[in-house]
Formats: sequence, structure tokens, C-alpha cells
Amino acid sequence: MIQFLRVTRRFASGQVGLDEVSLEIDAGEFIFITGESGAGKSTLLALVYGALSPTTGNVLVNGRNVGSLPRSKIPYLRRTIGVVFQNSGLIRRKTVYENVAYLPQILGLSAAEQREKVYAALDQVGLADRGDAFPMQLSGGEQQRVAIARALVNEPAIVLADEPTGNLDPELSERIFELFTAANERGATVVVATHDPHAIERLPARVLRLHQGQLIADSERQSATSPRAVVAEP
Amino acid sequence: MTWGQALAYFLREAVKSLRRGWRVSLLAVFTIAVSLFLGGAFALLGYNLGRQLESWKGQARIVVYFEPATSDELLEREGRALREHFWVNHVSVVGREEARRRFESVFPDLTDILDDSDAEPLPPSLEISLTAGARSGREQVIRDRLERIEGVRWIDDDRAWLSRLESLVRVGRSVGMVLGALLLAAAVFTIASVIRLTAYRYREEIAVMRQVGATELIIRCPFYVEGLLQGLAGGIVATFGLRLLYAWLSPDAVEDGLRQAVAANFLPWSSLTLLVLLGGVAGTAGAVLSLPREVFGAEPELD
Repeated sequence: MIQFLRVTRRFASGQVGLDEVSLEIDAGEFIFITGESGAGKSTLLALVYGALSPTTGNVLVNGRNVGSLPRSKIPYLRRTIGVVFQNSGLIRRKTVYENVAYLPQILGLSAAEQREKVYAALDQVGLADRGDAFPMQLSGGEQQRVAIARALVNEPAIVLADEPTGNLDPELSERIFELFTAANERGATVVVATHDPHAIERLPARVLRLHQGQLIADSERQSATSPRAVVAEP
Repeated sequence: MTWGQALAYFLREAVKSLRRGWRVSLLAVFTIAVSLFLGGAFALLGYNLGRQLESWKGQARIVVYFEPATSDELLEREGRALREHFWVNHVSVVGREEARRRFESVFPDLTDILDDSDAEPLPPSLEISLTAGARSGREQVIRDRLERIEGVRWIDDDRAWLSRLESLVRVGRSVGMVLGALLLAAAVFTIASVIRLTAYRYREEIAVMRQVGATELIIRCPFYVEGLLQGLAGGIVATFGLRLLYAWLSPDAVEDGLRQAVAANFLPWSSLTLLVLLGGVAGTAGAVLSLPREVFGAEPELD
């Protein structure tokens, strides 16, 4: 489903986001990516949904080389991937319904189809009755659930989440991870970048650990897939 | 998304944005309305002066004044000869008696001057009107012919001052066009600034839209439609302003000759439509210029 082939990403500042990372994620897997701040977790996710291109190496998603996709094709890739960020990334001037309906709307679904999909997604996250509310009228946890509903509304094959519980208390975090688990059980490949050790311990998921841009541990493999020497965990 | 759905979406988003930022939108509409109004006012002036000029040109005459002693026979003979000319429409022979009668009718209080024994008698003349098809080169041929007639004292040609007036109108039109273009450029700049501000205000949302899978067309077009609507609104306001100006200047409202000359007719529908469309084009141009890549290049901050 997702393949990284010796992927390196350097930024203009000279900072190395990812350093020769190779990995393979199969369809239907639930993956945690962990590591300290600056380890390259967000860079890895951004490379999957085409927000960044690799400096060297290749990122394949469903067999398509993301780095070589023309800029005009990136939106079509993103429509097949649900993305959730730490700050929910909701559009403040749109209602909950409008936020979740954005993708079905630009996909050209009819109003009835949009409504059906939006309420199915909101129902999954337990917010079907808050469709008319604006994001600022919701708690942080509710906003994040709306963001998840938006990510799931088109039933994507891949769901990416970047520190989705970073601003939430443990109880709300647990609820959020339940939503990702449910999406995974419905067949989606879920990749979550997180610092949350409780979630990692609690869920039976594969864990990839990054350190300074290198993949240093993969719970399903005996050693890291980075060609460099395995670095001791910080 | 079909084109119909897309257009409905762009329009809906543009109207929402206009309503949210109605104060700055009004500023943009006002700016474009002022520039189009001034351009339109020059167009109205030029249109009416042009029509008036054409009317005057149609009535323009060449009057050939002869020495007072010129015989009536010579006048009649020359008049007949000129009537045969292809570019001559009409020739009136004005003898001394007819000239005196006209003078007395126009200046009844000054008839004593003509009775003064030392006063020179009024000169006889030929009044010549040319056909509409007469062009300046051919008129010159006629003028050369007139200057060669025996006893001609001077030639009074309406076309001389009409030509000067025509040049003046042409200059006025050019000044109007330049001024209108400058003001329109200012309006485009204003609209560009307004839409740039809007885009900056919503740049985080734009980044979210992009992350969700919106194409550049879907992101940008609502802004373009917003500019288009502002421009069209400015054009419509300018048209209403011109109608008010016309009502104030029109012959029905005033008796002043100059006002009548500059506002005898309102601009035709084609010109008004063009004015509104020009507003739309200026608004869209402003929107297109306002959305550089840096506004839209925002991607999420990276770990």
C-alpha cells in the first residue's frame, strides 16, 4: 500500500527530515510512528500525501510514485487519503456539516449523497447532532472528532494522523484512538504519528520509531530498515 | 464535480465571502464605480459632442463674399456653374438686397448704419452646402475653384472651426480614455488588494482545502468570481451614476445650450453593456493578479 524506498528529504535550511528511510506498509495495517520532536514523523506523513517530495528515493502509494506526480495530480491523490492533524484544521467559518461535506462537495456528489455520507461520518464519531455548530462552539475533543469525520467521509483506503491527540486529555485520546481502530477494522490502512505511549502500549499495532530522520526500530522486524547502523533509543 | 456544480459552488462561495467582508467589498465596488463613472462621463461627452459635430458638419456651409460692385449676372452664372459640381449639394445666391434684408431682420436696431452714406454696402455672396460624401481633399478642389472666381473678396468656411472643434473633441476623448484607463488600473489595484487581504485572511483555510484534495481551480475560482462580481457591481453603479448625470444635464431638465450639446442623448445600450463588462473584466483581472503562489503555498508545519 505504502512503500518508502531509500527516501531522504532535506530542507532548504539544511535540516534532514528523513534520512535514507525504507519501509513497507501493507493494506489494512495499523501503524504507529513515534519518535522525539524533530525525528521526522510529520515529514514521513507529508511525503505520503504529497505535501513534500523526496530529495532522493521514491515514495509509492498504491503503486504510484508520489514524488513524480505532477502538482496538478496531487489533489486527486489526497482525495484517497484521509488526513488528521494535531490542530483539527477545521475551517472556522464553515459549520461542522460544511467542513465534513467539503470533500464530497468537490467530488461532485449530489446533495442527497453528500448528506448521507456526512451524517454517516458524523455518526461514526458521535457528533451527528452537531452538524449546524461552528468549530469554535465545540470542545477540542469534539473538533478533533469532526476532523476525523472529515478524514473518513470518503471512506479512504489510507488514514494519516499527525499527533491527533496532542492537545487532548487521556480519556479523550482513548476515544479518538477508538475511532482510528474502527476505521482500521473497516479496512483502512491507518498511520498515526504520536508521542502518546499509552496508546502505543494499549493498541496491538506495528510501531515504527524514528530518530533524527532515521528509522531505528520496527516492531514487526528484527532491526530497523534504515541502511545506517541502528541507533540506540534516546 | 460537473461544470454546473462548480459554477454554482464558485458563485455561492464568492457571495458568502462578499457578505462576510462587505465593508472592503463596498470599497472595491466604489473604487471601480468611480473610475468607470468618470470614463463613462467622458464617453457620454464624447458621444454627444461627436453627434453634435456630425450634425453641424451636415449643416456646414462655405460662404463666398464678393466685391460690392459684383454684378448679379456674374453671381447667377457662378451659382449655376457650382450647382453642376458633383460634391455641391445646394447653392444660394444672396444679392445685395437679400443681404440687407437679412441684416435688418437679425439686427433691427442697427439699420441706421446701412443708411449712412459713407458705409460700404453689404457684399453679395454665394452660400454653398456640400454633399455628405464630400471629403476634405475634394472640398479643397472646390475651394481652389472658388478662389479663382472673379470678384471674390473672401471665403468664410465653417469647416475651419468645425475641424478645430473636431480636434478638440478628439483630444478630449483621448484624455478621457487615458484618465479612464488610469482610474481603471487604480480600481484593478484596489480589487487586487481587497482580494489579497481576503486570501491572506483565509490562507490557513486554503491550506486545509488543499490538504483535503481541492484543486487550484476549486480554490482560486471563488476569488475570481468575487472579483468579477465586484467589478460588475461597480459597472452597474457607474451606469446608474451616468443616468443621474444625464438626467441632470439633459435638454428636458435644462435650457443651457452647452449642457444640451453634451447631454442630448444618453449612451446606447451597447456602450453601457461594455461599461459593465469592463468592470467585470477589471474585477477579474484584479483577482487574478492578487493571488500569487506565496499566498497559496502554505503547507503544514513539519515535525
